[in-house]
Amino acid sequence: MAVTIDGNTGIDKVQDGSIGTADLAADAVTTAKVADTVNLGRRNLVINGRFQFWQRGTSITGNSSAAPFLADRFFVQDSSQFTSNISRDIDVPSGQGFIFSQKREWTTAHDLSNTGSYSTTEHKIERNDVNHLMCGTSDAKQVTLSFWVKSSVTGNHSFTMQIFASSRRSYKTTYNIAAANTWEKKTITIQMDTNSAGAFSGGGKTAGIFLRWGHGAGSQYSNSNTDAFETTDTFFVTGSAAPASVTNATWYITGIQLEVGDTATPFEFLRQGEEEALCQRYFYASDNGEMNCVMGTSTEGLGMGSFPTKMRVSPTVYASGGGAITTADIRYFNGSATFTTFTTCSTSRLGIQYFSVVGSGTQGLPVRPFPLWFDAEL
Amino acid sequence: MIEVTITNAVYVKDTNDTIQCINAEIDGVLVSIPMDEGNRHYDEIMRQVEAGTLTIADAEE
Repeated sequence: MAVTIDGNTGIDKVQDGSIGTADLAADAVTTAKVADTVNLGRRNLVINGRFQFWQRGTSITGNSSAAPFLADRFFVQDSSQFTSNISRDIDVPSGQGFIFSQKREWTTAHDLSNTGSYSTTEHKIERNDVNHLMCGTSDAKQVTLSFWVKSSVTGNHSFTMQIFASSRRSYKTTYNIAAANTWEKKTITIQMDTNSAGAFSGGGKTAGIFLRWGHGAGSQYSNSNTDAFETTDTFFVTGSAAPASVTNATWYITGIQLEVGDTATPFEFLRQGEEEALCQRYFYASDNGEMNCVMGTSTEGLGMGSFPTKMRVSPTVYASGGGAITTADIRYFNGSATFTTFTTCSTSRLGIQYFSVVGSGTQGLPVRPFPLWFDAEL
Repeated sequence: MIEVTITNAVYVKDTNDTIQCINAEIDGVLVSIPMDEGNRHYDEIMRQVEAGTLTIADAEE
């Protein structure tokens, strides 16, 4: 159909690239005119990308552990050679609508001479949520990662996208922090792996994709290969900026979004309840009395309460804070405790199934577990 | 990477003689691990059992 543009008629087709933003009048493109093929919602594959949920607490001081979680869905790794403080912070980029960021601070400088040393911030995405990226096929999609970052250390920092294939496939790249202690938005577009070696392995509920911000690593986890997938478990570009090796270095991040396509769209703000439920598929910190049980015999109890969200898999149970459950965590409603030893607690994806104790309980009495942690993380 | 230390793994049965889960110390913390493939602690236990570096003791009768 011929159209008229600026009085010129008989134009059958507008050529690719001929209409720029400046050519469109304000409000010329309205919601009603946007085709339903445009991806407007549920773009972000990252859960808790604005660091809104911290069920486990809001700070770790002196971390030197392999895989502690703090903010929901994110874990912060420091091998024993590194020591860092991790915390929720209200320092955020202005004018973006974020409330919190995650702060890393390395209090002691360590060199990277230990081959197996590493310090990272990481996020795993369930395979069920990334199957549509078609990794390992010629139809593999492009994805774009965007995030806000601020660090006292300038230069090229490492980021790695990994695929949980039969052997780990890693795509390392760098993002540049130009100015110290200044929020900057970074965008990285990656063509997902078209090599068949990049096909996901494992079931749908297992990890599919791994986002890894590298803060320093020894030679075991480093090489200089960038911007292509390779079969290695490496996540640090040799020679890139290493805040973990700088005394009192800081690194903040928030507003993380991973989406299909080659364009970073504005951050997708989910409603609080939606994002909380997404987090609770992987971790749930119960409050007093939320996961009630009843004694089925004198020493065995059955769960009565359900998790607020069906969890990814049956979770491992800890006492609140991450320690072992004791009899102090499971008592009758009146507060009495007649158990001498807590023995075990099994779960399903929906709640506590069974627990057993040593002692003299009363069949039929309801039991009120104190706050517990249910961990179904990837 | 993401290594966890697992010790003292033992199957746990209920009074109906049904195995309910595995009790084990993970990084020194005694926890109950459901036998659900995909639970990262259970998967790690099975990986170590297959590698011959961990044995799960039978449940107490």
